[in-house]
Amino acid sequence: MTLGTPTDTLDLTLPGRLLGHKRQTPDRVALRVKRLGIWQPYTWADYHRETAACAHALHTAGIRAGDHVAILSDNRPEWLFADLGAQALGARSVGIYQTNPADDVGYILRHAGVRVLFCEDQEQVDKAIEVDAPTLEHIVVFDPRGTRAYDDPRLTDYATWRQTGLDAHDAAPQTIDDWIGHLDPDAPAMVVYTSGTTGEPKGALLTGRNGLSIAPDVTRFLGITPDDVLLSYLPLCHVAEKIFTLYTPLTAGCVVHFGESIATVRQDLCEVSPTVFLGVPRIWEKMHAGIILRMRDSSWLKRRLFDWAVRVGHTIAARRRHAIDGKYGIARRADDDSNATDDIDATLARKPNAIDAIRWWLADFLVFRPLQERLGLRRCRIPITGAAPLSADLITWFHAIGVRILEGYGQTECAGVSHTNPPDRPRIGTVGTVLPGLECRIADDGEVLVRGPAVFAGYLHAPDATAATVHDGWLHTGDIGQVDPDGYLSITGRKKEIIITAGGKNLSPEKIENALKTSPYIKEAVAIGDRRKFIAALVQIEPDAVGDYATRREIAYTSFADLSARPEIVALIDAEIRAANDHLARVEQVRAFRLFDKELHQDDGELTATQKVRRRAIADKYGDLIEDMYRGKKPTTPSTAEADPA
Amino acid sequence: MALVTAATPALTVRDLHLAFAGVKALDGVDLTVAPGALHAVIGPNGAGKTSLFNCISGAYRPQSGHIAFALPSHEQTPLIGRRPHHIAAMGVARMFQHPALFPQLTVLENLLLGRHHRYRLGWWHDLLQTPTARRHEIAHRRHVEEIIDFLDLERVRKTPAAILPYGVLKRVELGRALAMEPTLLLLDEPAAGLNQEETESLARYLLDIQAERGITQILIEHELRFVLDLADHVTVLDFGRKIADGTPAEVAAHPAVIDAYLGGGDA
Repeated sequence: MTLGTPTDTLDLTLPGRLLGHKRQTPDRVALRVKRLGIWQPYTWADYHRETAACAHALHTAGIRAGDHVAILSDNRPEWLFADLGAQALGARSVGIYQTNPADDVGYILRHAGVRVLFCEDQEQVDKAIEVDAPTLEHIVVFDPRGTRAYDDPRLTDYATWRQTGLDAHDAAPQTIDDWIGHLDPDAPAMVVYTSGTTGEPKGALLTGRNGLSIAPDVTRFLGITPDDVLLSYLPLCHVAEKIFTLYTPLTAGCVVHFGESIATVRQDLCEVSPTVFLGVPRIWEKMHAGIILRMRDSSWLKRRLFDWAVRVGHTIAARRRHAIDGKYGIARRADDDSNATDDIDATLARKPNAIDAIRWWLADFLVFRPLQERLGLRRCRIPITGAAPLSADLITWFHAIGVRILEGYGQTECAGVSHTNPPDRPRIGTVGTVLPGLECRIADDGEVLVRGPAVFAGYLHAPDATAATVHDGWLHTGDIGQVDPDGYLSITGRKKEIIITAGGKNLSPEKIENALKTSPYIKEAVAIGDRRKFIAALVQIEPDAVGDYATRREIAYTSFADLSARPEIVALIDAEIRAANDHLARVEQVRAFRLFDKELHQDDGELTATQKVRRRAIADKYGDLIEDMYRGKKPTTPSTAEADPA
Repeated sequence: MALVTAATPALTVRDLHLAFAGVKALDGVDLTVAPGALHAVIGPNGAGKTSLFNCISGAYRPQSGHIAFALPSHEQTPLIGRRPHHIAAMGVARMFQHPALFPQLTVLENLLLGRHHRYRLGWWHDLLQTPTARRHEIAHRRHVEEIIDFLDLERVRKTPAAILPYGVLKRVELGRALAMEPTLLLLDEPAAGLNQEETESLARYLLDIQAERGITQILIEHELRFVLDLADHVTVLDFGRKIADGTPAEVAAHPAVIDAYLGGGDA
């Protein structure tokens, strides 16, 4: 392994990039955090100084290159100081989900041999103290409230920790820059644990080069500038949020905001009004459901106006996409007999004209502008969806209201992103083209393969898993997909989770589930049908929306289980599933369903830390319910789909 | 429990008698509250708990007895005979069982209003927006924002109290009392009407108030279990009389308490 030249180190490590910004624009704002109701700025010089303090404190605690430092916290500036402080020493940062139960926290602490752990508050400290973690020497808590009486000798509060580091930094202010200057861009700098819907989590090792070699091209491709504004709110242990909180801002120099708490994301979003915004499917589904339900409550006039505007939006958005590539910008597979796009007729096959422009302006002025302001997306130039597939219908709907979502795609194992839709030529239903600097090809069995400098350095303590994932530099993504002649990739589903029906059809459960989840009343759906005669689904209702529906109709209920069992609610979900079936091919249509009598939860092993369903765990746990759906039931036509209260 | 010292008591009640047209609400009650303590007063309905609070806060005037309150200077001052607003200004705040908030005002405004008695400037300062007025306004807002942070009320900062769910409303009521910067906090059945989860989070806030802010708290409850894990010291009232007094363990084992709570008594 070659040692990076100083230029490489500055460009290809995160602490190096931080140092670069501090030298060029020390007084420009880099971060803002809302504390006691006021947005407090950190300049690049402050960012550098705080990082230096944390690096010195870690150094004093004995942390050296190759050690592991974990962070178990909500997003906050201290997360970045701890992360970059560790990296500045050549140590590796390890993010842990705050929602992880104590056992899972313990697993990661032991697996990585973590020596220093940063915790958000008392709740997280309790987990760290409770578990067996022989290598753990220091627990640093950001918010020490409630922990003052603890007598664990490993515990320090962040203010004390920071002061130790600041004193050391002020005594030798050059040291930090020397450390950074000696970093190796090809040494692992982060361990990102993949939640994995099966088995124990695996720790992907990412080097500085992995994340940063293609970052300048990507920011140029997306048109991100130093004037862009972001909100950091998704879990920072996930590589997708790292891209938008660390890689992108440290490359382009844009400003990252940290809101007050997880509970205030909606208000923070409105106040910040980010110009670049990453949403996971759950966020977009919630926004959509929120608008649809709110419109149902509004006056007749408003409803009519809204419906008119969305219709206009759909038409003009389709014409715009047509003008760009002549295909309405919507990808369709040759074997896809769904009628999702049939309602787009020939009248859309022309460019938008002056009248369209006036209609769009009017719809925007009357409906879309207030709507976007409410969502906090009015200034958003680059709304991105990633981390999991989002239904094409939902993306089309957002395009219609003027929020032109770009779908991206990538693996933790290639620093989070390998494909994204170009802002000027998005194609809905695809995850876009491969990023500059990377290669993509489809294996004979349909698996998507990716190669380039972003491909990771291997899994921590798991050479066998690494060997099974990377061959000749090609990262095996485990996803099945296809590339169209223009280079746009579309993903069919996970290789291991493809449903092969008794009739021999290959189906993606995710596509079916996403179609169902477009309903504001459905929070989670699990499609079942492998080696079965028809597709069935287990459905979890959205308790707020369904509760509201029940209250309005004076349907009395006590608990979640009781609500799910109400015949009226079963009928409601039945109708929603029938509507969703219209957007699915015949073989994909859901012919039977049951409702979960509880909310799926990470603590019960039903969801991963990223809140994805663990299909295998569900199949085992709810085996009886599944058998019940198929038992003695002939495949019914969708119009007679029925369900008994579970 | 390191905070409970033998120093000057934060509040001393001696031989308090209160009667309404011959009905004895308080019949010679004694109470000593250590500074920084979380002191619980429990008893069945009609035991005289709320009457005791009303005497301390100045709403009722007892027929006889003494109430002495320790000022921040450790100087003891009698409370009986003083007007409620005077007692509040001395540092006694009360969290009411039924939230005493203005429904049309936001959480932020309600909390700022809780600081009303700390506004020392003349009205002309506000009218003219003098620098002093601005400085004071910022200081008050900062104090309130610290309470919002402390009680995790950020999400509802600008929400009118009228549309808040009951559990949040109780938290705002606690915030309103804290905004008064009290040295003694009277909590009147704070857990009444809360579900299990809300009760647990309330208990955590009360412990945090003790640990982080060092405020002496007197907690009225009729639920025995809630106070046993929480309080440093428990006083039990029944029919206006003190029937037990001591640590939670002592009180739980006291025959008179078992009698009052498990039959006999007012049943």
